[in-house]
Amino acid sequence: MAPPVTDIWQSLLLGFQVALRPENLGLAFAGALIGTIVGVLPGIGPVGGIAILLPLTFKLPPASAMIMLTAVYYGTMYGGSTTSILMNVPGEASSVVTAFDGHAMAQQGRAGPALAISAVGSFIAGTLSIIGLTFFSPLLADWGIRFGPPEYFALMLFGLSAVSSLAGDSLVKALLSMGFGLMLATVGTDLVTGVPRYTFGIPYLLDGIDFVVVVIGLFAISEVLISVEEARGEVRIPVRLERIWLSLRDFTQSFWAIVRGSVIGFYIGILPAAGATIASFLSYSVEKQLAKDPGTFGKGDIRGVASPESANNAAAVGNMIPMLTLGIPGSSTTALMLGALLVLNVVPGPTLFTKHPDVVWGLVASMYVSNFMLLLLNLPLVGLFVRILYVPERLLLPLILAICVIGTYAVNFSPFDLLVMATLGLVAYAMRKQGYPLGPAILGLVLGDLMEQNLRRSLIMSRGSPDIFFTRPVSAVFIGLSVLSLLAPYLLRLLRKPVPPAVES
Amino acid sequence: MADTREPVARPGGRAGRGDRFAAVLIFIVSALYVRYAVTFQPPFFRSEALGPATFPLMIGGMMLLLSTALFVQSFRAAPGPATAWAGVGAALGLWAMLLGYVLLFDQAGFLLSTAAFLCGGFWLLGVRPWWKIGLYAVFFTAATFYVFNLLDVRLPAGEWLRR
Repeated sequence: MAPPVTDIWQSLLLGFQVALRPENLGLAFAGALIGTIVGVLPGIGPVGGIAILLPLTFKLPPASAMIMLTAVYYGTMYGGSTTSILMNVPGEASSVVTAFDGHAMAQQGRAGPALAISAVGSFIAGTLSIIGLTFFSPLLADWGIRFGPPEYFALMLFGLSAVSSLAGDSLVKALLSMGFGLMLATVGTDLVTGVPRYTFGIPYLLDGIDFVVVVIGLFAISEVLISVEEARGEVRIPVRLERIWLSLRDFTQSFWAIVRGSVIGFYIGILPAAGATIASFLSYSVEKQLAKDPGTFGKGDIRGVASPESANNAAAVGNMIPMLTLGIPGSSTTALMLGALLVLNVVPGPTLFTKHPDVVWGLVASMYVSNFMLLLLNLPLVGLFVRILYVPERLLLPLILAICVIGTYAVNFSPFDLLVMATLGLVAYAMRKQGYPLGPAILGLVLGDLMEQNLRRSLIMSRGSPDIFFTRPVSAVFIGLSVLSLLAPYLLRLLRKPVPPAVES
Repeated sequence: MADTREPVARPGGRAGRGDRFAAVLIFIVSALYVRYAVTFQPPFFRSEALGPATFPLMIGGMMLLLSTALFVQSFRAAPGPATAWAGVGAALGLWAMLLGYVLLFDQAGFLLSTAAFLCGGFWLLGVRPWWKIGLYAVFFTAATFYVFNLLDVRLPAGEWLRR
């Protein structure tokens, strides 16, 4: 039975009581600030940034930890667009599109309106989609509560295959990356039988490799190493910046782009694997097609900034829905948050809403709060954040590595963890150089244990017969979708008209 | 007539070499992974329950198939953009320093190892002259030490300074 709307208001009220506690407000502010800085900084993306901060949140109560991490996440989205507009250097994939028109505007001396519309658009989109999340996620949780182990196993399989099929250029490499994550997940004592697996007699490995250690190694270290390749040069000079303001005309011109971007972003975000990046590309092309004068796009059209910026923020919110309600992350960032919740002994999924209402609704309420904070923080302070760009990378990158080491050490105070982190950093660097996406690896790592548990429970239910996955309708549908998502790239290629091969002379 | 065409990377030429090497490496690792999984013996056995080896065997099997697929693909792969090698030396150099830092962290203590690592890193990435390297390294070491102490993170004092 779906909860009545009055219950949602009640819960939201509880949420705001949690989110507006002074210490949580402070954490949300700190998170938003750190996130924006991380978003602006070269050499460290949102996933690496959140990973480094994870150890610090482990001492906090779960609700506060999640509030801080979410604020960091949104902060990186804001910060990423700043560098996109001012320097044509997208901080992360989801703000690549922003650079098309955003940087063109900056070169025409309209950096102020570009930054302002990106902040305002993000704020409106964020707020709209948080309202969507508020009312939609209890419904989804209510549906998910009837899921048994076979449904969960099939759903996770779908999540993994969807993420792999959309990540990177090569499906085989994406799947290999996913398998790497699953392999790492099997290290440690088997929970059911107590058999040590892949421990090589090393006592440190009996508990498995700590999630945070892997994430810092895979994402943060490899990202710094990639940046080193380009860092040995000049200091980058961003475009000069005057007042950050927005005229009424700018706003009315981009209003519908913001609304459309929000809707597209929100729905794309809910789907597994299709995250902020796809949402931003899609909403940009929709806007361009709807425009009466598409010729101005790419040459500094304000709608070309408003629409992808709204879409990627809305998608970041939509992404949280399957993670919170079903316990299935659809992106690297939400996988990271799922991992953080598991470390805090909070198991996401349908029961989260009844077992830990303070965590869920505190988090939802804090999204409203940190979104507002980011708007206030970004409009007047963008100039200050831009100053960070003057810190040369050759100072920044070694410093980030040192902070990674301290962060990893803080997890267990174990030198062995440091060695594992450094090794995985090198492996991930090689993977990046060879075109292996890292998202599937992190998803495999987070979901590995849960998949095995649900596979076991399913087979106990069915007395060992794998038929159970195909005879239960919901699980059969998800299995079918998994197969379909893996075949999708090939099917699309077949549907397209074959291009005649170039004639060789 | 002299052939003036640009040399084109042929399928199976240099383009696929990295993938082929990776495929062989992954195949070997996966085979070892499977070999290890076979040795997992549960202390008790229930016929309907999954043993400790089954899930790893599924993953290992998948990896063996995928690495074979990668190997086959590498021969027909369209030549992609060549791997950029410029700067790899600097990245690997910094990684080697990181490895040294990590190995010394506990023994030498936070202050000594961090200052040394930062000096090396700054130097490698082109900070000059030497007194700037030292100044920045000392400043950042002190700053991180202060911040992480505020955050109540216990950092190793090191054995070396105690003697």
